[in-house]
Amino acid sequence: MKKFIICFVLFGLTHAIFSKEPNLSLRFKLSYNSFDMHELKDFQTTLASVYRRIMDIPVKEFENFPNYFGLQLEFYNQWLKGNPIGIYVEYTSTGSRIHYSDYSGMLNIDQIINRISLGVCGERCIYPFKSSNIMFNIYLGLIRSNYSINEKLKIGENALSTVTRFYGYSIGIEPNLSYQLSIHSYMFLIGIGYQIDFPIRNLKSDEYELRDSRNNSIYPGWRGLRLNISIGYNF
Amino acid sequence: MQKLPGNDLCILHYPWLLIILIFFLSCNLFEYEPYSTELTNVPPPQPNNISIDISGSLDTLNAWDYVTINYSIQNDSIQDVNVSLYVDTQLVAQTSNPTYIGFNTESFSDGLYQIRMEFLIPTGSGSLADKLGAEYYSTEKQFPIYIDNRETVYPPELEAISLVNTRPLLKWNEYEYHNFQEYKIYRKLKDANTDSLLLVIKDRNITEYTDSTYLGGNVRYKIELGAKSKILSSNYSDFAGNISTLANPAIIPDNHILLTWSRCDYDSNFDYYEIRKGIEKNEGIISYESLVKIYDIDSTNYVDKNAEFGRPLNYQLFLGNKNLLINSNVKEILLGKECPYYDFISFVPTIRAFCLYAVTNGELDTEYNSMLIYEDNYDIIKLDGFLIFFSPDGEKAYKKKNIWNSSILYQVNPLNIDAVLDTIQIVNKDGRDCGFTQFYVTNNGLIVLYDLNSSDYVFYDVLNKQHFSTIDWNSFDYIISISPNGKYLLNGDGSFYKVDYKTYTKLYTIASAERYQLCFTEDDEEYVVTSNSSISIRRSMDQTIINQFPIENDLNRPVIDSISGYLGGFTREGEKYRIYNLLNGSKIKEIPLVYDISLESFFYWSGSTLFLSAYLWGSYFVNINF
Repeated sequence: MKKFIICFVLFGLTHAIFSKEPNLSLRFKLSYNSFDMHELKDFQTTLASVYRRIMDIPVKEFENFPNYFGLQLEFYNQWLKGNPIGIYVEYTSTGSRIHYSDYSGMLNIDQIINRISLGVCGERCIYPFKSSNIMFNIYLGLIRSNYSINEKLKIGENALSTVTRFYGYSIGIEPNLSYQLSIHSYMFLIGIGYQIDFPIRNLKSDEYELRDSRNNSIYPGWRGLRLNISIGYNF
Repeated sequence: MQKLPGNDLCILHYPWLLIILIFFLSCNLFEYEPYSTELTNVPPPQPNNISIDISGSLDTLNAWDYVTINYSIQNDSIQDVNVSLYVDTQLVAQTSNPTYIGFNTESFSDGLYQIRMEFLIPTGSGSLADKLGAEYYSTEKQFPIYIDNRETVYPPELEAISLVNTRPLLKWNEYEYHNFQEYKIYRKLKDANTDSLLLVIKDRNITEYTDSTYLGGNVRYKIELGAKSKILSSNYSDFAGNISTLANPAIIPDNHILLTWSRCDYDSNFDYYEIRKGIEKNEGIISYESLVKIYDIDSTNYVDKNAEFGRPLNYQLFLGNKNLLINSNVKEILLGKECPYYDFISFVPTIRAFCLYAVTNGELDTEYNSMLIYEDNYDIIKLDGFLIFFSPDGEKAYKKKNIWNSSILYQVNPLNIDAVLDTIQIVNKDGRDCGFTQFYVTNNGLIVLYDLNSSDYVFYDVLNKQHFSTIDWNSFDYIISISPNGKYLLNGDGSFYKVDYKTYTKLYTIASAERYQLCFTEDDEEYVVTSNSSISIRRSMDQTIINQFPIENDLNRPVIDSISGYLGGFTREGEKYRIYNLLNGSKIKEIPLVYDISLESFFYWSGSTLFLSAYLWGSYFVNINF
């Protein structure tokens, strides 16, 4: 539901900004991202030790918030000549797993975290070629992090599943350098960037706040390297 | 961007909206999803034969109020168990208690039900399911239960008790409800305060009981019914029967005690008679010890061949079997004859009498009459204010007023002490009258006395009526003994003196341990020492050992009987009076004593009588038959 609300907000903004402008370009970006996530990694270790020590279940930790793909949609307008600005929406996710299974059943404790980032972006050509350019992009956006702990227990034919959700907010800034190749109205980009983020609200639910073993609140830690390829179209 | 032609409401008129929708929809498909798994190899549990034992009979459990079912799991490795209890199909209780489960029966109407107990026992395999308490061995038990919560309204009643095959037979009416717990049969002696539990009966169909422990006497029986949560008791039912009793003990030859009693009437229950003997060893407290057990019902007498002298003996008869020991009556008997306590005593062989002297604080007591006691019949002759002294050979007798300052001595006929033969005024070396105590008479007419006026020991020649010699009091502790003819004297400090005409010479010193283990023979030149577990006959002049015999223990205060020549003395080990033949050292007789033996005790004996005297216990004459 929230995605649809964002969708309509985005629609309203793009419609208001771009509907009467001819110099519009649309880009679809696929990125491969790394993430810091050290607080959630520590939390994963703590959670696993609780299962081992208190419940005496020899769980193991798997997939500790690995690199993963992201999707991004960008709209640019040539308000400033040669320096288009626009808005973007981005989505990415990662996760982890604590796991144990034997002949009698299986226990998974999965941490899934995704984010939707909505913000403004700008672009400047820093080195033009004949039909291509070296471009510098900057992204500034509000990040909403959606975090859930999914506990799945299966003993024989009986299964039990519980999901606990938290969310948080932060501000993200990402400088990005890319090589742009234009063919007719189409453009192809390959780039590299690094995102840093600043927490506004750590992970909480309506009732609880996620805290580590030292009772500190937990922030997702989205900072990391971004490798991306994009395809765009100039209207 | 231009709108596509067509209806304004169509989403295709807004292509970037379509792009945005596609973007978000693809986000859902694009979300990261953990995928790793790893199967841990845990061996599955092996089949396990678990045995459950339910306490009590499982035929039908009779239950009321809150019922508890006890069980045990026959496998030592099992730590936990979850038990579910069903009555018919209704779950009524669950527990993890490893020994019992219970439920309240009052929520069920009276009647027959089926119990099902389901036991879930963790496998302990270590698997995930085991650790989460979801992997069990399962077994169950089923048995019928009869719930009966009817109230018990009437007590049981005992019918008249009859004797069947020499055993009392008790009968009562049957209790009909299923909530029966037990019958308890009690018996008590008619005059006792407490009941003794004879039997607990768990079967309500049993309605009679044969008392296989009854051995006689007046008893009362009652029965208690335990049903539901009540205990109802019957009235007492009396039963009177004969009990074996002890007749008066009799003294038979050799100072043995013959005990007889009436035969037990209850042959079927009889196991044994037991005779216990009680002796007053501390003031007022009689300590009983088992003397004998006799397993023959027809054997109704027993001879105590070890009857002790010196105190009354108490005998008690008991009747016993494997379940019961009951006591019958007590009988008391005394070996010998009790007489008043006196301190000094001598035996006068010619008249076969004992002469007793009372002493208080080391002096002859003027308030008590001394007396003569004749051995034959223990007749006591009071001397009416006189003291009487006999020479060791009984040839001479003297008497004097029993007051300290009397110096007049009367020589009397030893066979008739009222016949005065002569009157003697005893004077000391200064010619003054003697007031005297510690009077010793010798065979040769010498008397030795302690003169209270001069504080000296005075040797006085009675035959010639003259002062003989004086020994300074300071040289003596006190005289322990003088030889029969007055030739030798043993002082309290152990000095052994030879006494001659007007002189006395110290020969040697007797060891302290031997001073009360020494006595003179009829011949002054020899004496006997009974220390070091031997009888040693020594020469008086120089202690040369003439003859020596080993004996079991030392003899204290030895006495030589002038008639038989035997030596007697008491042992402080085992409390015995032993008599030996001085010619060959053989033991003639051993007499058990009931005495707190100490050196303050006195034992004198003649050929047939032993006299015992002890401060705490009084004095006794005991007849000894060789």
